Amino acid sequence: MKENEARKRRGLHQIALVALFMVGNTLLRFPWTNAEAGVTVSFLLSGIAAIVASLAVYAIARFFFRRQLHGNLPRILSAAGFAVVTGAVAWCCAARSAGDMVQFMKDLLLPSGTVIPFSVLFLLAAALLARIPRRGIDLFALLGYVAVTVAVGVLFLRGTPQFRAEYGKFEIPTLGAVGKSLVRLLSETVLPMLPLAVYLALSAPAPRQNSVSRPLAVGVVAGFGLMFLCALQTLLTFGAPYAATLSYPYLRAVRVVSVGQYAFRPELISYVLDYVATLVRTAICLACLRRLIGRFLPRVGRPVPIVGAIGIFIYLYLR
Amino acid sequence: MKRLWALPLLCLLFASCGMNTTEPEQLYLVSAIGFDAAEEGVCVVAEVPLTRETEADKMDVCVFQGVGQNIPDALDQMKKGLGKRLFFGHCALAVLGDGMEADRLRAALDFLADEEIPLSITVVSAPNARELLARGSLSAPAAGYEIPDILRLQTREAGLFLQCRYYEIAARGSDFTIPRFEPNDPERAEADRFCGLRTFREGRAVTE
Repeated sequence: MKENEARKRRGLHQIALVALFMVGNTLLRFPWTNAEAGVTVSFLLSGIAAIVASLAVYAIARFFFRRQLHGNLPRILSAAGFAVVTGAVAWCCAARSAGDMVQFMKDLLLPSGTVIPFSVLFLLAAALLARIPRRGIDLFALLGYVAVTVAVGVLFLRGTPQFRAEYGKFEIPTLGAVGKSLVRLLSETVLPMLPLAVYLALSAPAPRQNSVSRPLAVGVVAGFGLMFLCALQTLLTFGAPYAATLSYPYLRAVRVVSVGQYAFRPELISYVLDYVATLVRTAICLACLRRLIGRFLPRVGRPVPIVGAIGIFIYLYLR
Repeated sequence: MKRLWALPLLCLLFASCGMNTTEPEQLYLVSAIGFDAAEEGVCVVAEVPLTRETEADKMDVCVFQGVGQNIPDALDQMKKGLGKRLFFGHCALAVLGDGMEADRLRAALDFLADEEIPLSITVVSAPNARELLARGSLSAPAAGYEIPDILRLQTREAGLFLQCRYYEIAARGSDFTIPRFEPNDPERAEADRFCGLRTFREGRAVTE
């Protein structure tokens, strides 16, 4: 009985973790530019693709890592090849996520200041989160998910007076319009599924590995639900053509929300969503890297998140 | 697990990340901006409410203006001689004077797209933007805060539905309708300053 309750709780944590990872930096990068009518359909298609990709990668990762690797050389080599590819993707995803957050801070919050202290603190927080035991990450994700869901929900409700019915008309887009935004969306949603699914496969307790598939699929849906709410608020406030001309359109949609006559620009609340989601994505990618290296070289795994974060800082500084 | 509690502390540290911070006392907080057509090109007007440290309840309103071939030139002209930086983050009203059409109108709307200016700024038309702002207001400290209040009242009491905030206009391209206001006159009621609508088609004013 107790074990069932613990499993249920872990399932909720995992859903929150996957959902936040799913949002990640995708919301900051959401490809509105030149997307217009095709964006809604490609958004839904990329969600389905993300679920399929995450389950497929999870199955492959389980195949490679469910048992200890000693003895069977061909299996060790193929697992090492898979780990190298996943590790490279994980580091790139972490760097991209952290880079987007730093760029966001530079563009909007600190246009005349330096972002170096922020970059250091963000990467330090991500590395710290990647180093703590899995229960810690799960708890952080659950708290973060509850906070961002409440924030997004409240902002959506407060934003309804700004919605215009004429922007809600759905037009069937051309195949070309869907394809253009779908290619960009897939790279934002499907590719990061690789480190996430591998992280879950490596960190799930061995006998319960089957139980991760369901939270994985539900978490992707929950993450897309959150992003859909943000996208809907943006579209209904600005309309697709004008939203396509804006950078960070969701933040700007939140900016025009007012509470009464005197409380304006509550966009600070939306920074919580962007910060927590990018932090979780960066941390999970670093944690995936740590677990992958730890699988082959157990003594080297522990400092990997810090080394990875330093690498990202150097990359961002050089960029 | 204990390390988890270090994360909120790290988050709090972000509050101290802002370098080159400026105190409000070092800024002129612009409440309204106006654009008029001029022989040289364009005239930009900024309304700035000023509070006195000794009499916090009294507020003077200053109107600065600059004329130039284009809006950046006019702004540079306006900024000459000012002891503080103009800050548009609290700007609530943009006034388009008569003659602000076609390229001038596009330039004014492009200027309003600036990061610092709120997207929800109210855009109105007036015979002369400088006169509208210079004559001040009856009930609010500045015209920039009074005119949006009058529009809110009109929406509530007369059921008038206006889409005159900057992002609503920008979403409509060059075809939009905005309310028209006349300068303050002590002999007229405050709400009577609202004198109809002005419609733009392809950047040209078509109706009075």
